[in-house]
Amino acid sequence: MLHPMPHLPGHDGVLVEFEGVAAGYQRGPVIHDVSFEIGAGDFVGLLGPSGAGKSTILRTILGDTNVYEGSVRVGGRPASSGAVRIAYVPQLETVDWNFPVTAEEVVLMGGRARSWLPWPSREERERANELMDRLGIGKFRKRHIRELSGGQQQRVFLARALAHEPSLLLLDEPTRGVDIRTRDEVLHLLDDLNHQGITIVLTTHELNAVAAHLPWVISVNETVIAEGSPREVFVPEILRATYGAEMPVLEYEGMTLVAERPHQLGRGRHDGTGHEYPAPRVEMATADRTPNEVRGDDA
Amino acid sequence: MLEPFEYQFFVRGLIAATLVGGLCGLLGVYIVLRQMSYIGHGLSHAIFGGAVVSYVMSINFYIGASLWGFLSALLINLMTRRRPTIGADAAIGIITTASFALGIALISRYRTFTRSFDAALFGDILGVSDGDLAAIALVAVLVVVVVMLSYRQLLFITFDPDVARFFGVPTGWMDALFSLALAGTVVVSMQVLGVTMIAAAIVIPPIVGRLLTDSFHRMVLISVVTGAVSGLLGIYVSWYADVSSGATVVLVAVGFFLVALAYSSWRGRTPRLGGMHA
Repeated sequence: MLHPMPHLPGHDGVLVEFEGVAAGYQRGPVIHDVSFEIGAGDFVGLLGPSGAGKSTILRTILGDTNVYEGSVRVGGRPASSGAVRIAYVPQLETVDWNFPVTAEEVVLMGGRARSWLPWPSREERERANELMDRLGIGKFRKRHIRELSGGQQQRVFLARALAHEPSLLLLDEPTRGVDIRTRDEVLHLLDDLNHQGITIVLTTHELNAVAAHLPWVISVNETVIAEGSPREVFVPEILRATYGAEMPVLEYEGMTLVAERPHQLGRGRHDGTGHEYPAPRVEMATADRTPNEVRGDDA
Repeated sequence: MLEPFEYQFFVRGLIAATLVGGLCGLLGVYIVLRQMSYIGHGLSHAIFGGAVVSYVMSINFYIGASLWGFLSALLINLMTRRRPTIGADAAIGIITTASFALGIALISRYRTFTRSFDAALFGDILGVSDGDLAAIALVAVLVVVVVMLSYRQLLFITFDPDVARFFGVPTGWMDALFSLALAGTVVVSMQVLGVTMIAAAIVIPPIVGRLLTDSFHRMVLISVVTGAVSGLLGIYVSWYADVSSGATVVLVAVGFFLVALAYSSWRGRTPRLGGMHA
């Protein structure tokens, strides 16, 4: 565990507060009756299936959605009031990778312009270089963004966000589409940033990565299903309510992990050719590792 | 070689075409990267409608046409952002052709027009007056100042329009400012290039830049230089070839494009053109 003493929401004061919020876009609300608090210094993961409203929650914090009911307060004031300096890292899938910009040019976009000139001041450039060095991408600063690996690209956009000097950092699916090693590197990096005082909220599908790195999760499916530590939230009942599927839970080396299983749980799986594949036995897959405890309700 | 420089109208035309080429190259970078290449073509047609309306209402051409173009560009931006299902290309098509059609309808209704709109349609470099040149120079200075002061915000909006506002970039104001700059540029370019050639002057120089570099700053520089040199060379060549100035400027730009395409193919780097997204 990276957090032997995880941050607890609210211990440094409430930074983000949702109270009975229904929010969405022009066609109506996507999330309903959402209530939670995020404290200054928290590191929170928003979990849920596709279309559950995770990104909508991030955009509501940014003041970019229509709030139909309830109240959203960021830094004690309405969202989009600018009370808290927020930086946002979008999903990498939304980036135009053919746009003619180098890594350094992207990072410089996030900084506060300290002059009226079209080019950055020496101070801004030094700050950008320092951030890129800190995130391990300093030697790629002159490279076009398309020429970077997935992890390096993620770091470039993280550096742009940090150049904005945020108190609150929002990341939409920062682990999507990257390999396991890169995913862990990114989450380690975020953990370091959180320990330096930045409040972090991210959305992700990676339940087990969350279990290993995040002290607090909010499980969402159009509304808040549950919140707490991964150990508290990763229980079959909550996962079933969130994902609409049975998901056995394992304990491994002090972490709570979720096993993915096919839809036909316990009845084998058909591939349309008449062949039936047996359902995986979670207990056997972990039998050689102790102490293990299978907490799935079929275990 | 220096014979045409003895004529004032040629020198005026040369300066006008160089300035207009550079201006179109500058704004064209943002337009091409925002995948709104068709806006130059559309806006020039829309402004033609505005020019006719200005004439009918006895309003100064530059003021009336610029205002008309500005409102058209704003409407296109508004429709694209508020109604994403319509898409930028369709929004440009609807608004600008409606405006053009209005201009044609007015011309056919008021057949007593004494003014010829041929120059606006096809460009008439020899007809550039001192007043036209002053208008071009004024717009050039204003556009360069606007782009320099908002250079980084414009870059952010162009690269990541959805995210820029979360970083405090005033996207609405920037769009309005850019629309105004574009409308002014198209209006002053009409006399030199003509409605039908403006699109090429806006699109080709940035594409040349994109083919030659992966850096935004260098792309801007290459595009401005390509546009300005195309204007200068185009007018010079048109004098000796005795062909339309607007067409010659565009053909010179096409020549630069072919050279850039060949060079980038030889270097093994040809970014996707047109729909520039990966």
